[in-house]
Parts: sequence; structure tokens; C-alpha cells
Amino acid sequence: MENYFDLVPLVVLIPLVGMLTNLFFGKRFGEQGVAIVAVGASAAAFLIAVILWIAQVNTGYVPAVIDMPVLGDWINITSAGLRIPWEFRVDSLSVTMMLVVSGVGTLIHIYAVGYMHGDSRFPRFFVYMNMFLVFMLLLVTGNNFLMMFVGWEGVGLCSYLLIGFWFDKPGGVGWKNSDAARKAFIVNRVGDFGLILGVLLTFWTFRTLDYYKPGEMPAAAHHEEAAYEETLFAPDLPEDEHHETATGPIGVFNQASAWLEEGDHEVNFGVISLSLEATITLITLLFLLGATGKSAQIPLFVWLPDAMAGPTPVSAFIHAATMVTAGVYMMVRSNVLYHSSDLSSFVVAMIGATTAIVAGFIAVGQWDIKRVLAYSTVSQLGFMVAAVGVGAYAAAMFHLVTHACFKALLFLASGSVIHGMEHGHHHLHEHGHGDHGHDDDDFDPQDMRFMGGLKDKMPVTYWTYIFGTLALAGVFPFAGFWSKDEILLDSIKHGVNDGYLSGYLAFVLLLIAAVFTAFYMWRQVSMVFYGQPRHAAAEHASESSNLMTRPLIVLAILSLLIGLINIPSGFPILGWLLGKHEFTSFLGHSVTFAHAGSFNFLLATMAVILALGAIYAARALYNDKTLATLERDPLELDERTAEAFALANAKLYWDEFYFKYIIWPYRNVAYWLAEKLDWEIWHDFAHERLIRDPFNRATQFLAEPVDKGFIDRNFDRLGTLVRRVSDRMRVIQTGYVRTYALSVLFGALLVVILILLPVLRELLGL
Amino acid sequence: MEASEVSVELYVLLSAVLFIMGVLGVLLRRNAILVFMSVELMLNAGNLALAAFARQWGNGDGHLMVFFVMTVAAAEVAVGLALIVAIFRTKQSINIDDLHMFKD
Amino acid sequence: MELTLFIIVGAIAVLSAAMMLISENAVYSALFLILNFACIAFFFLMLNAPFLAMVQITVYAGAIMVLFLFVIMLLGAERIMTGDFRYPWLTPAAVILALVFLVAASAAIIDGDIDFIEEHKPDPYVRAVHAVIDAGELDFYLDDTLIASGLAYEDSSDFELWTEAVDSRHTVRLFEAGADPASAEPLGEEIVEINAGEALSFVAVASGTGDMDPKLIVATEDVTFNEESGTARVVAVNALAKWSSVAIVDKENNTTLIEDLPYGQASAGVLLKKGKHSISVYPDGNDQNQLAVLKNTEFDDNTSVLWVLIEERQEGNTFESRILNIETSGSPSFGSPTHVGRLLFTHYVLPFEMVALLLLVAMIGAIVLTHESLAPREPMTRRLANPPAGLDQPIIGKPEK
Repeated sequence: MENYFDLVPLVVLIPLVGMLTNLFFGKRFGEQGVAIVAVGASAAAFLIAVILWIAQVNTGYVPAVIDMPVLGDWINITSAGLRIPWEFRVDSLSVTMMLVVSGVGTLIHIYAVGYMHGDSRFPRFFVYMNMFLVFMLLLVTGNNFLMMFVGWEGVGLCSYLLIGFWFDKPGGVGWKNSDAARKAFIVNRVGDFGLILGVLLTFWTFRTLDYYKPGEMPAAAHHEEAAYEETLFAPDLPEDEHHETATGPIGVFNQASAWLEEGDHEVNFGVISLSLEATITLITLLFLLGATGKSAQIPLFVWLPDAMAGPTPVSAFIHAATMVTAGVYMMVRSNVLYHSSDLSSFVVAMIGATTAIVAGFIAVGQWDIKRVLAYSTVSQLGFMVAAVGVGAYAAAMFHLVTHACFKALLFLASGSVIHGMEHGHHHLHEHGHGDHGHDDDDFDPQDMRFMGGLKDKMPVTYWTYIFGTLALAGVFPFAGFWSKDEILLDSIKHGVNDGYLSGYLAFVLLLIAAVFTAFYMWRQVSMVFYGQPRHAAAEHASESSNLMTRPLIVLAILSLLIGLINIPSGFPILGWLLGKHEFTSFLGHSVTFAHAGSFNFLLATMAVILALGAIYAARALYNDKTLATLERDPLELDERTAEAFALANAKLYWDEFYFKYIIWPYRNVAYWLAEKLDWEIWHDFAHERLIRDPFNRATQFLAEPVDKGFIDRNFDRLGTLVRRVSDRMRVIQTGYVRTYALSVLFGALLVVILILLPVLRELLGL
Repeated sequence: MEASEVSVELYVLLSAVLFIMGVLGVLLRRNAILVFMSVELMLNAGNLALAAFARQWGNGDGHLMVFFVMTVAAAEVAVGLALIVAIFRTKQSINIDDLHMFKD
Repeated sequence: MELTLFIIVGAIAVLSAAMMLISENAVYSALFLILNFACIAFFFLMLNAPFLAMVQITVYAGAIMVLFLFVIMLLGAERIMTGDFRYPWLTPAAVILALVFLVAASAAIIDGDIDFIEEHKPDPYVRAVHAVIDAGELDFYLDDTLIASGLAYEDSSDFELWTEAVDSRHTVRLFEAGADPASAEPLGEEIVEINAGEALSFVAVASGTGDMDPKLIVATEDVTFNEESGTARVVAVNALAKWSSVAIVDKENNTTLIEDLPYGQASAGVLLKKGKHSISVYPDGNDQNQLAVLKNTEFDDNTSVLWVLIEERQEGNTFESRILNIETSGSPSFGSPTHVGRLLFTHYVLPFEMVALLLLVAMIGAIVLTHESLAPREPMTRRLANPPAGLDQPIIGKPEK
């Protein structure tokens, strides 16, 4: 069974082959061929992920490190002790990510075949999608931070390419799209800067970048914080044994554990030296900066809502299900480091929770169907990050998995809605029903104000949307209920049992965020599906093709059931039926500080009731009457909430804040540097006045009197002389061959006579 | 080897006479083909001298040189005649006095 | 006789060359040139160069002149003499120059005494012959140069060119095979004089009857071309110690080839008609006591034969005389096709290959030059016209603001 682990490079290579095939032959294949190659590559990667998962289960969850064939080491500088091999890691964490990425990816690929049908750059889209798969899978399977970083940058690139995919749309939309792409790329750069600093610091501290060396086991967690939980999950080896057996080189995490246990370890930075704890805090904070970029947390979340400019499958795949969770994956991977740093954990929890509530609040005030979902994604990512902050690594991963399913579903369903709206709009144009009160130039297929009443027009989309909404809102028994509940419970336990302030704060903030979640989601459902069509396009909207709805149905079923993989202990019946916290046990083999969540009936009930209450409130507010003419939001009309709504609608003036306090000052400084320093001082003064003018004068002198007056004139004279002489001698050149031949003979004769001179002299008696 | 009745000097003198006649042909005739034939005559005069000296020295190298001169002459004739044909096609003349484009 | 021929043919050659020059019709000129070439071929024959004569007729008078005639007829250029006739002073000038040239050259030739320049003699050849029974393999050194190594009984090495100092004395030494000439004692030693143009055989023979110490005899052979064809050239070496001198008789013709050949000497060369001969050896003056015989042996022409008369040990420690017959083919006769061919494929292989390449290039060149696409050119335009306008203006000046 262990041989199957050798398949792991294929997980990356198969999408790579698919990408290259479509890159070079895509134009010749036509849409169908491209789709088969791209979806096939994705599905094959999923198949291999499943095989790896089965292999993991059957080998007793032993982590495996597999070398990339052929390539050998990536970097190997022996003198610096720097060796970065192309090693893949197969453990429960990476397998989980592989399953999510390739599984959801495959469904979205299928959906995209329908969604992108007829696009002029159909092959290129799938080249990018497969390329994204390559890098995302490289990110999650690499066995060292640098491989992860390669994937990290690669997915950033793909994200940029795909957000700006429609850069050529007419009417300024293309500009907006490419602006959004650039924004995403540049904002991510800030985060990536932090990440690479963190990686370098890690190398400096631990002299390696490998998570674990081949054959090394993750250390088991220590028991002191096991107070509130009955089980902790250690690897199969007895824990006290493998501490001693760990000989030879060890990876970052075990090295950190070992040194932390020793205590008093100093990290030398030349001028100063820091304690190991401080260094780890620094590393984890730098990592957090990376995560806030990639996973769209405060303060770097601003790119994600704009990223919705990309095609909807991209939003679903990259900007909801997979890429944005890279930050969470990275932090869970580094759980040993985060666990040891209270300060970092606190910051992480606060950032996560704040993001969750801020994004949830903004989502309430949005009109764009995808923007609402985008803020929802930011908010849910905040949940995951907060979970990491409160030490609930398994819960974070659990929420990552469930969220990947239902958020992908929601995005795809929203794509289906948009598709339907566009279809209706086209229909409208073809049949000339132009007099429906709305100016067509204002029509935006993503604006919820133009929708309404789509429940009957698009039944499959509607029902799957409901599933996704309920899952996101955390209603029992949908997937979101289990994962969100676990995060909430872990937060409050972190506060109550371990006495961390961050636990209480996170719990309160997340609970409110959960209420917001339910509210804005049902607001969206009401606006889109209930009431009467508010635009002729909505009236003529129709259900999308099977290619698009089938993945929706699969994802809807997953959204309903995926939560059952991790039933908390203490839950009646189901836990006994399906096994307790299976997922957490699974993760526990690679995540040292994973601990299982229990079930608190009171908390769960409260959460569900709050969610249902929010849903009810939303439905009450957005009833058929208010939905009939939705020029303005009911919240906007109500004096008490108008101000808050305006704030949410303006996204808390976050972008404006950045513009005013970061971008404009930066631009002013740049202008000043360019205009004053570079242009006026450096160019005008230093270059022109100090260098150019004296040089000009010197060259003028050299040119006029020296060159022209002396050298040139003498050479002119020489030239004239040559011309005069040659004028005389030109006569010789007659152009007639025979005269030339005669001169040759003459010359030869001269030579002969010269040679024979002694003989001739003798003959002539001279 | 018995001494020949005819001395080498005679051969060389004859060779010189023939060579000069070739030179005169080159200089005086205006038909390109005749000029060319005169060149061949000059080459043959040279060959004769070479063969004579080869016998005088009892050395086969002179013969080899004659052989190579003949071979090169064959190559030269091939190219030269091709040139003449090409020139005739463009100028409709092989009078070398008509070919005075070098001056331009 | 030869001189008469030379004068007649020479006159024809000069006359035909002159006719070639003055013929108005190019075809006649070509025919006269062919006649001239034929004369030159005749001269080649007289100059001992039959091969060149052959080539001259076939290639020059044949192939090349046919090509000329072909082109003349192709262009219809027998009488084409259009165009202007410029520079009339050229004719007298050319004639005067040519005459001056001729006079100068003739003076040089007549005054230069070419005939009295000493003939050059080729480098000498040397070889070693082993004719000592029971002596094992031998090494031969000429001065310090190994000329034959590990030579077995009855064997001879090939003639090698001796390019060291000639016309001087050298030492031939004999060693057991593999011995170090610097330290070992030579088995035999002989001082010889080597002159240019010779072919020397160093023959190692036994010192006497029953005495197996080797001793050296030097025989001068002739491997250059034979004066008379159909003969082999024979040199005999007498190593029969029992008899003070011997005679060698060709029994069939009953002619005595060599008389009075003393012990330890090599004879002068004698000629032997090619074909089968039976050769006998008698002690001098006693034609009844036949010492050794060479029965019905075939002799080729143009070979150099070395007979070494030796005594060979028989069973019962008796000795019997025997003729060792060593045949070497001579060099091909000077100027013959074999001679030219051998030179061509040994010393002149590289020039030969290059000339072959040149011919190939010439062939391609001829094809390219006469190719149709090149033929009808546009009328020549001035290639080097006046320089583009403005270049005569100086470029230096103030850059525009």
C-alpha cells in the first residue's frame, strides 16, 4: 500500500500535462477536446488524491515523503547547508487539501465547460484553470516552505490571469476587470513579502525548510492542555519513544518542539540575538501577514471583492474554495509554531474574528450578487483564521472543507443565475421587447435589484442555492452547522477553560458574524428568487444547461452531508452511528495540536436559533411587498438603520481609507521623487547643468577649431591631393582588357629583366 | 641513362618561343575565344619546359606538375567557356574590346 | 636522328602556333592549336614522358579542344568581330615587348648552361639480408638506425630510402634480435661507403664452413629502371668458404654469367633475359663439380635478383652448397604511367584530391554561370552611382532643442 504514495507527483504532473496540451494544441482541439483534456486532468488528479487517501487509511496514517522523479534537488548549496529537495508530502493534512482542491476543482471544471461555452478564449481559460490546479496542488503537497511558496506565488499568478480574463470587455468593463486583477496581485504582493520574510527567518532559525525530514514523525501534542477533551490524537508510535528515536536531521516543527522543550534557546542574528519564543512569534506574525494577503483578512482583504470581476467558476474555485484557504492551510501546517506563541495566536484570533464580523456587516449592504458572496467568503475565512487563533486547528480545517463545498455551490449557483439573467437579456434583445421601463445600458446581470422571482424560472438553481444558504447559515443538519459550531465551541472553551481573552472576544464576534451571515444570505435569497421579476431579463431567464446544474446538485448533496465526517463527541445517535470526530482523528496524524471538538447542546441550539431568527428577520424585511419595487433597500428607508446601511454599502470606506492614507501619500511621495529629485535635481541640474553643458562646450571646442579647423582641413588637403593625382592616373584605367594585359606583360618583363640582369650585363659586355 | 641527342636548352627555347606566341595572341586578338586559346598555348609551353626539366633532373615531380597543370587547365576551360557563353548572352558579342565596363 | 625529328616537329609547332594567331576564322585557329598540341605530345614522348603524351592527346587535344570548337560553333563566333577597335598603338607595343621578352629569355637560356647542371641523383636504398644458418633472428643497424629487426634466416628486408648523409662512410652492425646496440657486442661489423643513387644489400653470411659467426658482405644492386626491357638484373654473393672462387653458369644457354667470383665478394650486375633459367654453380675452372643448382626458375623482367651462395647444414653435420634466390622488383621506368601513378598516389595524394575538388567546383560553376535564370540580364546599370545627397554636408552641429 505504501507504494501508492509514489503516485503523488502525478497529482501535480497530470494537470501540468493537461495544461501544456491545451496550451499548444488547444486551438486545434475545439471546445470539446479542450474540455475533455482539462476536466480529465482534474478528474485524474482527484482519482489519485482518492487513491492516496485510501493508502493513508490502510497504512495507518504514516506520513510519507516522496521525491519528485528526475528533477532531484531544487536548491543544494552544501556550503550554506541549504538543501531544498523536490519532495512531496503525503499525510492526512495534505491529502485532505488534495481531495478538496481536486474534487471541488473537477466539479467546477465541468461547470465551467458549460459556463464558458462560446467564449473566444475558451482554451486559454482551461489552460489557466489547469495551471492553477498545478500550483495549488504543489502548494499543498510540498514538503518544505519553499515549495509551498512556489505554489503560493503560482496560484497568485493564476488568480491574476483569471480575474483579468475578460480584460477586453467593451465599455470600460475590461479596464475594471484588469484593474481588479492588478489590485489582487499587488495586494497579495504585500502578503507574500511577509511570507517570504517568514520563510527566510525560518531557515535562519532552524537551518532547514523541510516540514519533516523523510521518515520523521510529527511530534505528539503534550497533555497539559488536554483538560477539556477526552482524546488526543497521537501518531501510532508511542510518543515518548519517538522523541528519543528522532536522530539525524529533523524538520522545522520537531526542531522547534525540541528546542522549546529544552528552553533557553537563543537565535543569533549577528548584531542581536532573540529568544526562540520571540523568533517564533516573529515568524508566525510574518506568516500571518502572508495569510492575510492570500486568505483576504484585515487589512489586506480588499482585493477579494474586486476579484469577482473574473468569470464565476474562477470566483467559485479560486476565490472561494481553494486558493484563499491557502493561508489557513499554511497556518494549520505551522500549528506547532502558532501553538507555542500566545501573542501570535491572539493576533490571529482577533484578525480572524474582526474580519468575520466586518465582512459580514459589509455583505449586508451590497447589491451585487457575487459581491455579497465575496464578502461572505472573507467573513468565513475570518472564521477559519479565528479558529487557528484559538488553537482549533482541526476545526479550522473542517470549516475549510465544508466551506469549500457550500461556497463553491453558492458561487456556481450565482453564476447560474447570472447566466440565466444574461440569457434572458439576450432573449429580450432578439425579440425586441425593449420597452420595459429599464434602460438597457444600465442593465447589470449581477445586480440583485434587477432580479426577483427566479424561483420558478430556475428551480434547480433555486433549490441548490437554498442548500448552500442553509449550510452557510449553519442550520442543522447542513455542513456549516457542524463546522461553525465547532469553531464557536472551541473559541469559548479557549476562553473559559484555558483563560485566554482571545477566546471570549472571538466567540462574541464570531457569534454576531454568524447572525450577519444568516441575515445577508437570506436577504440575497429573497431578492433573487422571491417576489416578482423586477426586470424583463429576469422575466425571460431560464434554467442553465445540465453541464452547469449537475455539479450544483452534487455540491448541494455534499453541502448537506459533508459535515457528517466530523460528528462531535457527545452528539446523540449520529455520533454513535457514524463515528465520532473521524475527520479530526484523521487530521491528528499530521497536525500535532489537533483536538476534537465536543458537542454543547445549549450552544448549538442557541446558534441555530439565532440563525433561524436572522433568516426570519430577513424574510420579514424583504417580503413580497418590499421586493416588488426594490429601488432602495428597506434598511435604507428605515431611519434607524439607514446610516449603518450606507456604511455597509460603502464597504466601510475601506478602499477610500487606503486611497487617502496610503496610496495618495505614496503617490505624492513618488511624484515628488520623480519631479523634484529625479527630474529637477538629478536630470536638470546634475545631468544637464553639471555634466552635459561642460561636455557640450568641450566637444564644441574639439569639434570646431580642433577637428574642423585643423585635422579636417589637413585631411581635406590630403584628399584634394589624392584626387588631383588620381585624376592624372585615371587615364591608365581604360576599361579595355587588352591594355591591362599589356601592362601585365610589361610588369612581367621588368621582373624577368631584373632577374636576368647579371646575365644580360655579361652578354652585352657591360 | 644515355644522354639525349637533343639538349634541354632546345626544348626550353622552343617553349619560350611558343609562350611568347601565346602572349602575343592574348594581347593582339580581340576574339575572347582566341584569347583563351592563346592562354592554353602558354600553358602548354610551360608544360613543355617542365617535362624537359623533369627529364634533365630524372625527377618525376615535373611530370606530376604537368599533369596538375592540365587538370587545372581543364577546370579553367570549363569555367572560362561558361563565362564566355554567359557574356555572349548578355552582350551579344565576344569581342573583348566591347567589354569595358570596368571603367564605369 | 633525334635532333632532326626535333627540328621538324618544332618547326611544325611554331608554324601551327603562328597560324593559330593569324587565322581570321576561329575554327581554323582551334584546329591549328590542336596540331600544336599534337606536336607537344610528340615532344613529351621524346622526353621520356609517354603518359603525359597520352594525356596531352586525349585530354587536351581531344576533350578540351572539342569543348572550344563546340562553344565556337554554339555561339557562331567564327568571325564575329564587331565593335570598335581602339588603341591601334597596342599592336606594335605588344610585338616589341614580346620580342624583348623573347630575346631576354633566349639569352638567359643560352647563357645559363642548363645542360651542364649536374644531374641530380636520387637517395640511396639500403636493405638487409639474413643468410646465416642457425644464427637465429638478427637486428641490423646502420650507424645507430635500426634498418631491419628480427630478420629470420633466408629473409630480406625491403629496400628503404636512406636519407641521412650520403657519399660518406657508415658502419653496419649486426646484433642478435632485441639486443641493445649501445651496450651489446655486435656479431658482425662492416664499414661501408654509401653513395647517392645506389641500392645496397647488407648480406649477413657465415664466416666459414661450420663456423656460424656471421659476417657482412655488401652487394650493390640496381633497382632503378632497366636500360633494356625484358631483362632481370642479377648480383651474386659468394659465401662458400671452401672454394676460393666460383663461376655461375646458365645451363640452358650454356653461357657463363659470372666468372671468378671470390669468396666473400659480391659480383657486378649482370643481365638475364626474362623467362625460365637453370642456374648452376661450379668451382672456378672445374665445370664438372656442380656445387649447387637453381632449376627451372622463372625470372621476371624489371627485377633485381640477388643470389647468395651459402652452405647449409645437413643431417650428420655435413654441409651442402645452395643458392639463395632473392628477387626484388625494380622501380618503374621513369615517366611511365606506373611511375606517374605511383607518385600521384603516394606523394601527391593531397594535391590530387584538391584538384579533383577544383574540377567539381568548376563543373558546378559552369552550370551556375550558364544557367537560364542568369542569362537574360537587365541592361547594366551604374552600380556605384553618386553618393546619396546630403552626405557631403558636415553632420556636426548643434542638436535641435
